[in-house]
Amino acid sequence: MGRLFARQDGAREQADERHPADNGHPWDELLSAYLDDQLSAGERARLEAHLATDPHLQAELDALRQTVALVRDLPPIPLPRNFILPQTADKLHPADKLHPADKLHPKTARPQFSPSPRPRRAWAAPLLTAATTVVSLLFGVVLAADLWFSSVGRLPLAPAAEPLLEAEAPQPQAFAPSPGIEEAVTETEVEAEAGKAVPAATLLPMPTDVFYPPQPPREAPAEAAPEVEQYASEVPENAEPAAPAADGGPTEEPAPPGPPAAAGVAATPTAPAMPEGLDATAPGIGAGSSGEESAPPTPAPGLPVVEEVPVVSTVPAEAPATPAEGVGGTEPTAGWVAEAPEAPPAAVEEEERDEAAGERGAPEGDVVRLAPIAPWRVLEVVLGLVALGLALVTVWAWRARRR
Amino acid sequence: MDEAGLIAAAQQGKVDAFNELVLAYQQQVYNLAYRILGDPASAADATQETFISAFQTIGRFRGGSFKSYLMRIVANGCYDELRRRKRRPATSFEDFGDVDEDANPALINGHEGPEAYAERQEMAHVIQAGIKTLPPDQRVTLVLSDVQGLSYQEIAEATDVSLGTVKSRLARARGKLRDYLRAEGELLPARYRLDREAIGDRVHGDLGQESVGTGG
Repeated sequence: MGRLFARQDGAREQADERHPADNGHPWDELLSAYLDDQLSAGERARLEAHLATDPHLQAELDALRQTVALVRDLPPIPLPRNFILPQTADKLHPADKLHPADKLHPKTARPQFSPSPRPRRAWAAPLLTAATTVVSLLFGVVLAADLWFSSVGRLPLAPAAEPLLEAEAPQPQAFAPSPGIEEAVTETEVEAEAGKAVPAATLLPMPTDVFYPPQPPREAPAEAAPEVEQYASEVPENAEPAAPAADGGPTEEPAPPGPPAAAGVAATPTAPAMPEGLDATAPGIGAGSSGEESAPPTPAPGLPVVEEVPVVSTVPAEAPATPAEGVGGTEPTAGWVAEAPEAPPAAVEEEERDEAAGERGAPEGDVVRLAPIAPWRVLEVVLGLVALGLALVTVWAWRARRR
Repeated sequence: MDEAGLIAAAQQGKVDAFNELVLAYQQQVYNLAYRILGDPASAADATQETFISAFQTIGRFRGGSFKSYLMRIVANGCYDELRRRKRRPATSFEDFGDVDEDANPALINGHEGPEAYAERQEMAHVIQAGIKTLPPDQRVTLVLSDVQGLSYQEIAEATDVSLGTVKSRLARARGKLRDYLRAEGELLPARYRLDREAIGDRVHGDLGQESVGTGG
């Protein structure tokens, strides 16, 4: 080895006079070209003359020749697989699609080789990122809403329940006069009387028709009407379905109320129903408040609770619908509103109910806990899973792209 | 079908025809990519990408050497890959796979014993390691020339540089590789040093004189 280095150094000393050492050996270009027979006749003659008299140069040439020979003798690497293209490759055929062929054209300064897979992923990764973000945000919103509502549902339920009662309360009064509404009245009364029962009763009727197989709730009102307290005790069972409504928020309940809502997707039907219900309740409450002292306070707490408000509204809206089937199930609210103004006279009854409502606070909490709310939670889980999946795919996409 | 016919068919979007060309050239393409990139996974990717790209752009292929056309695509792809690695050294897999990939029992010559085979494998690893020390342009040029056997002219076309540039790149690459092999010489199997030793012995006598002469 020492000898070799010495030899190399010797050669270098010879040549370094003309070329910076960094460029390698000054003669290498000539020697290399000589090996490939790429020298002009004149160059070759001069080089050969040098070689004849310069053993170092000859040694360099031999070393270079051996190096080239070693490289040429490198064994071929076994193919890891076949690289034939899939038949679908012809769909990619239009050359310009993924790859401007210009890049491969000799005249381009620096031909860029952009493998086709990369461009394809190029848009996928950002797109997936966006999708992931959207779904995640959605998930977050839904989760937050659920948490918020559930927390609200537990604490303020009492107030919420009151609004329900009151909102409904006007109804009964309004309806009471009407012929076929007796049922409605009974229901509402039942609700009002049975603190817990109220939500359950009101809510239940509607669901029962559409969604909830358990029809006990429906019947319950009738029975309960006379014996409120008993009902209240019984209600918890029936109330369970109703409870979800309270917890789950508007979406659940609204859905069932819509007569066609059989579809089960609470969202769409609910949305429209809610606003109407809100309006209806609002006026009703307003009317009640103007007429009464007790009325105003109760509704007020109820309103702030966004979700519950809709619940209340929907409940009453539906409540009338069920009892007074002839009135027009679809737009109970309209009738509601119209009737609401009349409510004030019934204020006395409402007061009584309010008191009842105050008592209800505690019991309702129980009801809420019993509630097994499904769709809301299902939506959360689905969103969460989708977000997770998207996130994974996105990560993969970015990685693939980076490769 | 001859190559021209296959190319014509491929230019009309016939995948089958193009795949005939793939089968004919995939070994060369893969080999080239492997020698430039130094690891099987990257080489396989580059090979696949080369053929996809070649198929997509074959409509613009206007005769000439199809092999050069492919080599050009591979070279550019590998070049990009090398530059990408330079930007992200952490993602390099260069150190994986050499040994296994180079080991190919099928390459054992009938008259070559296991030891000789092992020596050849070791030699191949040292050379591959030496190639990896070269900067990208020299690496590509050297592999195109000495692994792939392309002419200067073909290399110039494949890499979009002048003949003079090819010449100097190749010379530098070979010189560096030679120096590398010298530095690693002690690691090489004896039989690969025979040549050199012979040269050394032969030169050594002269060298002494020369050194003296230079010194004086």
